[in-house]
Amino acid sequence: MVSSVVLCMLLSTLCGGDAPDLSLHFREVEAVRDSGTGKEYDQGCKAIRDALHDLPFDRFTMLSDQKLTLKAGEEKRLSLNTAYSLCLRYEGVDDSGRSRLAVTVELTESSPGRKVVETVLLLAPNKKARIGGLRKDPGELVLVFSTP
Amino acid sequence: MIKRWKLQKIAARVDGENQYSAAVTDEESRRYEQFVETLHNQVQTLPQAPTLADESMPAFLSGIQEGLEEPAFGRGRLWATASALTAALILILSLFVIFSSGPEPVRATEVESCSTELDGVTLQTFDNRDGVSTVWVTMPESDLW
Repeated sequence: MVSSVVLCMLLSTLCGGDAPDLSLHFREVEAVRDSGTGKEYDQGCKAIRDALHDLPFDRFTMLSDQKLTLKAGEEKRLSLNTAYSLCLRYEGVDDSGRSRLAVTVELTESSPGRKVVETVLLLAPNKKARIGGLRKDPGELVLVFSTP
Repeated sequence: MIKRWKLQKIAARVDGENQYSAAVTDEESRRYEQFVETLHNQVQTLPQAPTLADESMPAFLSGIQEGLEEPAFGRGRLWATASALTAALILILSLFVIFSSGPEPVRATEVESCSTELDGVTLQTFDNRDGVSTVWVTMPESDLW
């Protein structure tokens, strides 16, 4: 009897419960092609050089650096600039411990609401993912996501 | 050193078997005599061993018989309970180890899916050499959307 109760408590503890909140580090970088030699990173971009150095751009400028907390199933909308908006939805943790993040980039000017890209990222702890190639004069936007 | 025959003689006199033997005179013999007397007196004070009357014998034997035939429930039940508890404990610990071993080793960040609604836009996914998963959007020069 006592064993059964203990067993039930253990199982409910181990199997139950909602996914914990996701701490997300989101950075918006402007990448520009210059004719200059070598790559230039501003102070903010130096910390994420591993996510930028292989891109065919010369100058990287941090436009936004945000630490977000997302609850499972909740949507969060961010305005990237006048051309795009970003929608983030945290969908919990998969079997291997990675956070499932649905990311949608929509147009806000030329065709409002149309999705430029809709993707699901599986974010491993201390790893990065990025979305690049979003045109923005004079260069392109690179969105970098990471979890602590 | 007292001779063996003398010890027996002293003991026999203390037991009343040889009342007419001469009293001991030397110190060593006297001490032995006192020892035997003390032993003799102590033995007299011991209680009588119980005796079983003939009329009680059948009841006594039937009690022994019942005791032999009756299984030793108390100890057996104790062992059974202890075994069951041990088995339950092992089961619980095994389940705990299985469930608490955590998820599989964390793999790299990955792009599970990606799509676009815009004509002329293409998407590529790749990882750079630092393991940064990438969705790269290639947009046409002219705004086709």
